[in-house]
Amino acid sequence: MEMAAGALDARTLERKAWNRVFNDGLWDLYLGALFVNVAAWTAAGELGSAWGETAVPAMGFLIVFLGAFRAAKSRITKPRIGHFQIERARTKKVHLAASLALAVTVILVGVTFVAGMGAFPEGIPLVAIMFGVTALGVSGSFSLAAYSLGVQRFYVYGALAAVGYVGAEVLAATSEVGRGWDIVGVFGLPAIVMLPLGLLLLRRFLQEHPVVTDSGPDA
Amino acid sequence: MRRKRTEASPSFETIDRLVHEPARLSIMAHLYVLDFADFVYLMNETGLTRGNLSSHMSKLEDAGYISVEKTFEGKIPRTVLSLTGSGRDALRSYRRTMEGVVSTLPE
Repeated sequence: MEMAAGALDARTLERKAWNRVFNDGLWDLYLGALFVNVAAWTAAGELGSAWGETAVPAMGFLIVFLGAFRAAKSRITKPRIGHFQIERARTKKVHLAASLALAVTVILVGVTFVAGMGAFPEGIPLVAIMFGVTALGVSGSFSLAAYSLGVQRFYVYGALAAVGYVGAEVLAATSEVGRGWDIVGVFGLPAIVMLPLGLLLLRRFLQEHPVVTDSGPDA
Repeated sequence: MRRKRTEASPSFETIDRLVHEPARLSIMAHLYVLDFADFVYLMNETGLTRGNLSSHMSKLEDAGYISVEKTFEGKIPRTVLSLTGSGRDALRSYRRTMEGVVSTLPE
């Protein structure tokens, strides 16, 4: 009998389980596709397309990506590593992080609305601040996820979101480009790394985990 | 007073042998952080063969430490395992006992 070696403490096993959730590369591909979608939508707007024209395909892609992600998880991942559910009490911190990200988004929507009403005095680079908060939200969410779930590459995604924002702000300050490119930077730069890395992880996952044809003990 | 201390002190006799076996301990520890896991997941994570896992699963189920549910997902059979309340208590109790036993061992 050859047993898998390793610590059996709850923290290690929990992190191991979380890593099983993310080590197939599908989350990277899914988030990468979503981020490319947001970046492309924003870039199209900056290049002169009417937001309404590009909104419908952008929303359509969101549904397609979600469907593809769920199907891939069900058909690729589960037959290979099995099905499991991390204890609900332990997923609370993930829900907390997601709630925080949602709260930031809601605040941003509120700020946008108030700015649209002209309630802020002129001279304040409100858009830059707003997109900066967006970058902070994206970066912070990835860092929090990396810390609590033990998925180290999320730190890189968070850092790239911040770098994308700073780079776009430098561009805005030194050239004629609009501040919409901040959003392209925040979402586009991490996506450039997420997509190829997701493909590499998926390839490695498929090589390391053959399909287990029967999940029953009596086969 | 002396008797009380003797009763409270850990001894090898108090070790739950069902949990103490490494393969079963690994199965229970993995299930401790999960609501449930299927047979494939536990085979992958513990490194046990199908036969070994099946055998240990039956022993833990008979003791009431895990619950086993056999279902079908389409035409594919799926065996889902979860740690019961008494299984969780047994694992916690085992940990306390072992901590006490280890502390009595010579360095």
